[in-house]
Amino acid sequence: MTQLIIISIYLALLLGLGFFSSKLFRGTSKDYMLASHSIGPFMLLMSLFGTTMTAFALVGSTGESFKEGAGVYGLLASSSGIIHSLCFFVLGVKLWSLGKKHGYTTQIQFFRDRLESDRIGILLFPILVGLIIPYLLIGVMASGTVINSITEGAFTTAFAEYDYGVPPWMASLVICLVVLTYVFFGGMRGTAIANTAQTIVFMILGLITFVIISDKLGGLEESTNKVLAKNPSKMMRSIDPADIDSYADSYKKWIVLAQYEYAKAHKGLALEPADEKAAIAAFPVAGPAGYLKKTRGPAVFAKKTGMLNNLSILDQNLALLIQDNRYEMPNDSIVLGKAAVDERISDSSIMEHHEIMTFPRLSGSDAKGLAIFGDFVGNPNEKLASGRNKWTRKKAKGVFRATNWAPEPPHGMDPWKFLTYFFVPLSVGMFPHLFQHWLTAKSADSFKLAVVAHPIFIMIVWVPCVLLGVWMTSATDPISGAPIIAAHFPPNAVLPAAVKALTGPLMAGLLTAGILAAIMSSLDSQFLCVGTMFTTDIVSHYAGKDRFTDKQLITIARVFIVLIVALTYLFSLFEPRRVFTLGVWCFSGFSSLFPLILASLYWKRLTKFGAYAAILAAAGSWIYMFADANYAANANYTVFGVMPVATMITLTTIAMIVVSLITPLPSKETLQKFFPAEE
Amino acid sequence: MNKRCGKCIIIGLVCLLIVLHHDIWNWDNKEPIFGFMPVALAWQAGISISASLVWYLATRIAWPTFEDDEPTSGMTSEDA
Repeated sequence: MTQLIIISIYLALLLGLGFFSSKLFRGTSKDYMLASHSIGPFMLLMSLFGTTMTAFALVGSTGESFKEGAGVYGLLASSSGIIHSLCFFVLGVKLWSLGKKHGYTTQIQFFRDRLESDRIGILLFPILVGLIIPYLLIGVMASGTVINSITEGAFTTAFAEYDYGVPPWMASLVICLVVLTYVFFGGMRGTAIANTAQTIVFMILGLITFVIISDKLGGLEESTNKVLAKNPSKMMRSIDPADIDSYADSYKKWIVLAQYEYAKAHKGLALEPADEKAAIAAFPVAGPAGYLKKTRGPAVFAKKTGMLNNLSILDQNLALLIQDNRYEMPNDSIVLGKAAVDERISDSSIMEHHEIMTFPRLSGSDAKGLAIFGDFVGNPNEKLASGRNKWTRKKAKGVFRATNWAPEPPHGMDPWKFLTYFFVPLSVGMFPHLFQHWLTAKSADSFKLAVVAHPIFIMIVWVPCVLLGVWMTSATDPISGAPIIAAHFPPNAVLPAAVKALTGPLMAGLLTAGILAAIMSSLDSQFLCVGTMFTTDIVSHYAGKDRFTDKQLITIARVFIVLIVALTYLFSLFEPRRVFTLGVWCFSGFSSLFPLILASLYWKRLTKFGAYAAILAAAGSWIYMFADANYAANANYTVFGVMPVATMITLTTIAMIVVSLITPLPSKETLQKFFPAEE
Repeated sequence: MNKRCGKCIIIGLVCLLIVLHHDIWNWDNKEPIFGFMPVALAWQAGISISASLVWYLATRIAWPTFEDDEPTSGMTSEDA
């Protein structure tokens, strides 16, 4: 309950900040959308940094390094330090100058003017808003996960199906409402003030989290030594031989379990009670609640005594798929045999693990976990007969996965994939909310601090998160010796689970406020931006500048924001994806449009037809690849071995250059306007 | 130093950073630096610090000027 009270106080303070910033609001739409070009260097740095660092940076980076190891920092953080500042320097300053000179508020206004095309806005508007929605989704989803994880046990009887914590759907809804409220009251100025305050909060609390957790784990060196001993591959980007041996051994044992469970369920195998009892007693490892002894002991006995020898190759393959929750035996398989099962399942050779992994996991495995461990599940503040705390539903699901699913094969980082990740941060050049933030600057010099400090700020936030993710792969409870975070744990929940397990309620509440600060400092800019784009690029543009008063325009912006947030919220209620994976897809979409913004500023030969070709190539390739990757469900999707973004940018660039070269140049007036020194 | 020369230096340094970022020579190294920091992380953190230095240099030798630019020094009233 302490955590819930602290989170509530923090959200109330944020609302107070919104009311305070509303006092500074000048009442004009220009002030609402651009803070009247009055933001100085420090606030520009904090709002640009707070906006770009979202759930992706904290929740996503910790979860991803838990899965992929220390190389995750190089994938996006260090490259972002170079590329983000490059975008501020090469694009931001120039766009600020043009925006101030010609009165732009949105990207689409600039593109319409530069390309002499009204319809480019019609094409770009749905694409930009469509790409912002998954970006919003990252924050909305992560806030629900974080608050639910950290408030487990806060209620005595309510929300049992959410581990007696705040349900994720309710937490996400509250966060959306809080951000909507302060954006509505304060506009861009309120957003910049809230961003600055929240960026300070999440940076300070993040560092405190890191110090406390590393201390609880036994110190920096001890935490790293555990990783070196248990999961050395997480320390580098290739596979350590020790991990290969350990995986091969675990996989072999898992095959025995899979075959035994299959033979029991489908071939009528049953051990004599005395044999089963002896087998359980003989099994050397005490797992969760003796579960490993009960399942693996009899499996080892059955294997040793030849009871599994009569399984056909098809049976053995089915056993692996069913045990890993990737296949369910068809009802008519007894009658039809091979004809009833999926044709991809071989009956002539034992399938390799990578072949097994091509079958997506089925839903329903969590229900199995809850059925098996149901007696242990309850309010985590209550005690079991053994004296230990009751399990959460998440723990029951996690233990089921860790003890039943196949061990994860160790994998390194592909150098080509690593190299082509460099294209992902280019998205910053096309983020509509950053364009809007750039235009708030008081002067070009205001950008200097942001350009210089951004890489260091990224380092301050990402290094502790990545270290924490790596350490959590091998951290164990000092008393029970059990892993703090089990294998197959949902990556999005690693950070809140670590915070909850290793800090007290007061610190957990404060640190959660820090995580939420990072999430909300991005959501606010994105909310404001979609409203600004709708009123400026659609409503005012087509209805005429004087059709609506400033007050009416602000109201229209607010209504559109609510619609988009409601849509995003609905999406968040569906099956969650990995925050990191979803983020990379969203950023890839924006990155694929990077050639367009760069060319529009530095290449006179760019024509409107070239721009249309670029946008269509970017949108077409993104939609095709996103669908091909099973809508982000395939986290390791690549095209020709490289990141999809590399292919998207290549296609966009080729389409833009080829079509521009064969179509007529923009008018002399336009070229004079945008390239005065060269005309 | 004129601005064109400054820009060339910055372009060169950014290209160098991009090359150094792809530290293939650290791929197999699991030994920690300072007893706790994975090399893969420490090297890339160094890239972040270097990037900051390069961008500082960029603001000194390659910063663009605009006709209507209002130079600022330190925090404005809005920053307070």
